[in-house]
Amino acid sequence: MTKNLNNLSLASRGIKYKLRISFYLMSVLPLLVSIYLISSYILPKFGLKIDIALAMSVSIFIALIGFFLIKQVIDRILSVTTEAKLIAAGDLNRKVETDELDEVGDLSEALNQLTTRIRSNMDELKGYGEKTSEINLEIQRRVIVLSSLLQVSSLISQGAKLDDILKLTVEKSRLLANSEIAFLLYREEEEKKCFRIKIVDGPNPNFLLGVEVFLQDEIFSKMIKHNNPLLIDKQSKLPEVAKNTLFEKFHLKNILALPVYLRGGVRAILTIGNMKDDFIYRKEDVELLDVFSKQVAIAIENDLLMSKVEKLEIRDALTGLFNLSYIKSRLQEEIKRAVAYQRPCAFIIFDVDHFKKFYDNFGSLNSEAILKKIATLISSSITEVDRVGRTSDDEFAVILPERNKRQAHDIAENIRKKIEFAFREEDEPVKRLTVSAGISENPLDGVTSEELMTVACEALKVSKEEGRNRVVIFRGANK
Amino acid sequence: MPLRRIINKQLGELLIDRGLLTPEKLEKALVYQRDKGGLIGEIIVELGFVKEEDIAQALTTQYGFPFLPLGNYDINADILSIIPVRVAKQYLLIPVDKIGNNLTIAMSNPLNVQAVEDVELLSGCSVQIFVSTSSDVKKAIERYYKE
Repeated sequence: MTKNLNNLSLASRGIKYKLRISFYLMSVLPLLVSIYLISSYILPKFGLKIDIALAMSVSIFIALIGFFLIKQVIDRILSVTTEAKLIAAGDLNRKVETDELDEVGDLSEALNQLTTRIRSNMDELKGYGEKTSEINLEIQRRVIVLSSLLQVSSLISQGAKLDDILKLTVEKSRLLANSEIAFLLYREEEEKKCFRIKIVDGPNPNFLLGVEVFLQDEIFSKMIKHNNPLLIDKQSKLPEVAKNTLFEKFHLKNILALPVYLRGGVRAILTIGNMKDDFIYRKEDVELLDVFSKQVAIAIENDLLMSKVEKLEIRDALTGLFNLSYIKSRLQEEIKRAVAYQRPCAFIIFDVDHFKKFYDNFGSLNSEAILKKIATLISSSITEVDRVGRTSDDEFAVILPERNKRQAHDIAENIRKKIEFAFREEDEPVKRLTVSAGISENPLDGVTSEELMTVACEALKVSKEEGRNRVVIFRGANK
Repeated sequence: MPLRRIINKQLGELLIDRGLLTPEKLEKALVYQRDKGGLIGEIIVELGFVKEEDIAQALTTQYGFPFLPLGNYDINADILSIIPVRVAKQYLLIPVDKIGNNLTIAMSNPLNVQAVEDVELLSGCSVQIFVSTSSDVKKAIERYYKE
């Protein structure tokens, strides 16, 4: 019942329907009733008889005129509604027609004004959006450049090879300023006057490999003298001749080059370039490439210092024992002394048995720990005049001045037993470490450190072949 | 292997004990050694304090090593290969004879026990030592190893 009543309700119906109902209620029905009453009761009293059909036609005609007028109003309201809906859906370019100056006309006008305002606001927003995305792009570019710098720095701090660092730096420099190619001109020594391409990154870089730049080249000498970037683009004021020379040399239309300063001198030139027409380098490009050139300087400086330190270094970083180069030179000195004083000098090489297996099973930390332990065991078994070093991963060397082969054998055997004893309690067989040793002696096996090392290594090989955990004093069994 | 006498005494002390050298002269020789290097036996001879023959004589009488005048002795070339020339030159010794498992060597400083051990290790023989003067051993090495 309620449902049926709801169906009858006008609340949910459209304005058109409501108007139609009200029109019927207000005009057609009362008119028809009036006509009926007038024609049936009033007119016969006066003797008049009206043709009912004519009366009906006139009434309907008048009602139709009313209906037509209302329809016009409704149609305009409906068209405004449709337009408003379309505008709401997002079509801001629509315009509602406003021919008549009635309320609907005002509504349309208001709607048009609203649309115009929204449209201008939208345009403004769009402008902001474009600007924001440009800023975002720039930020993104800088983030990429900064992360590249970070990568370069971490390579430097990891102590990577200079060539790898320079390669990465050049690669990353190419990301700047739409560059098609990036390269590093380098001179091996400060005294040299000629820069050669050391690293190049880009498509078909081979033609660049033979290119040389001399300190006395006018353009470059100016750059180096004043520590300015060399900038060649649409705005650069360099004479055309100079531009053409560079174009022929590097096959590039636009070039940005920065000197890499090292201890007051220019050691390298970091360069990027492209072939674009009407190209202009921005200030930021120069600044960023400058940072890269500083990184190159740090890397080169670091490499120079490292190689100096390596030469000076005499200790092995892990165990604190001497390193191979020290052991070599020290052995040579001891041999000289031995020859001068008619004394012997012995040399032992220890190698940890099955060390690789241990490393594979227990990793680098444990391996380092046992190497330290073995280092301590060896150095605690020799005297102050003796020298012990770690000569490679799991190899130790001992110089025994004033000791002959028999004495060296006793010392080596003592160390071998100590090490075997130190690890004998381990549960797993891989952890029960032992060492093999080979011994050589001056004068028996030679008069240079190389000779003694070779013979000791060969004896060590024999001790490995014979089953490890032993000391061998001659390279062959028959000798 | 024969029992080896334990020899701790330095050559200088031995020469003083036998009255061939004064402590002052030994001191001088040691100072010279500190400055210029070299072996004490050779320095004492070089400075003219003691003769080479006297040193050999002292070693002979003190420790019972027999003396071998190398100049009058012919060495069989075959046995030279037992001791390489670098060992002979460094320890100043030379093989002179080999009978069975006994190798006889002549050396200027028989107190160099380590050298004797090395020779034993190298040759696998038991070693019999004769004392000779330094210059005789040097001359013999020059002469025989050259051939």
